[in-house]
Amino acid sequence: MEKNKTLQTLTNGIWRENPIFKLVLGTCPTIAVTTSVENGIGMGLAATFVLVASNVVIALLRNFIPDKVRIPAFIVVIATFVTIVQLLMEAFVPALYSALGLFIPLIVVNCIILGRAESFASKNPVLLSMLDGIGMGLGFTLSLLMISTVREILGNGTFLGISLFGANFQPAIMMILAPGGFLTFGILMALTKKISQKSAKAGK
Amino acid sequence: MKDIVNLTLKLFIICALAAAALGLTYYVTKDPIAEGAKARAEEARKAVLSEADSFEAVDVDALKTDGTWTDETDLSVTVDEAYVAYTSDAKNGMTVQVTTKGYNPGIVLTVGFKADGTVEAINIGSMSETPGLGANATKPEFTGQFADQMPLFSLNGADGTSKIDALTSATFTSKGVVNGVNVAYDFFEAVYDKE
Repeated sequence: MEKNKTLQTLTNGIWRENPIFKLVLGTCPTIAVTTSVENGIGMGLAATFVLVASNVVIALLRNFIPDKVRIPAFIVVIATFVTIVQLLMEAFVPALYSALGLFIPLIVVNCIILGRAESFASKNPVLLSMLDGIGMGLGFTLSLLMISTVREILGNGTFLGISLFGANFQPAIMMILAPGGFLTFGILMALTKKISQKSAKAGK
Repeated sequence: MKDIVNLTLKLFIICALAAAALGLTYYVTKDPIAEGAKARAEEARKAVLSEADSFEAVDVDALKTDGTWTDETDLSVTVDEAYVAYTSDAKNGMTVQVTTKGYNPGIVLTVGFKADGTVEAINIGSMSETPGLGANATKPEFTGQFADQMPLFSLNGADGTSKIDALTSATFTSKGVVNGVNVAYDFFEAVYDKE
């Protein structure tokens, strides 16, 4: 039973409560960075890292933070954490920083982080919060990977920068501009909804 | 009343701890970050001027104040910084970094000039051009056209200028880059022999 709950917390974020397609959190960075697969993966991994760490810190502090001022307290914790990660990365792993650095300030305002702090980490023990962070982060990364794969292939004719169709392919540039982002996002969201409805019916 | 004090105090503690953690991290990382940035800037200059082994900064602001150099406001191009390059202590070319305007403002461009004024290479550092269109300007197919050519440049090759093929559907970006390189050359002409 106990083990079951642990596993469920981990997988929850990947499908049942997928932050992008089900909770519809953090959509602004989603549209903005999914123009290429490389960016999508980078943003996903950086956000996962911050999400796990902030969930752990907030779960540790959950009995100290008074309920009435929890939101400012969460934001201070998250912003501090993100800035520390950014400074450390820039100083000691500049190669990683040059790949992910662009996304780090965006993570502060990613509502998945605040959303999970509010709805999960502030009510659950440290280990479960960490697993929730990992699950949500992976769900976020996989969703970004899906959206950016569609957009990069259709809009640029490449996957991870590798040309797929040769030089004569005329890509639909609209797909890597904002309208293509909304279209892909909407269609994929409808598909996930359809699939979960089907499996819910089958479950009955 | 007691509640207010309690809330304020706890929030204050959280903020104070956060500030302390940030201060400490900043203190520890300040020097490595500065060194890294310096090394990267040096590398970026070497990328456009491969023969140089040391660089000396040109005081661009002083040149602007005394009137030796005026930025091209009609073309929206400004010279940000410039370095005179040395090979074994002999003056050998110059790198000029300009900010120019394509479809959007803010294309940062570094141009390496050899001693005779030919361009060795250009490098586009940062820009906010349209992905898939103007953003293709960073690709070597476009930037490579400037290599080993004598300025000035233009998109139609008129009046003895070196011709640059514009990017498909991104004429503004192409024009912006060409303007940037041309202004960088003007700056080189105006300054190089005096430094």
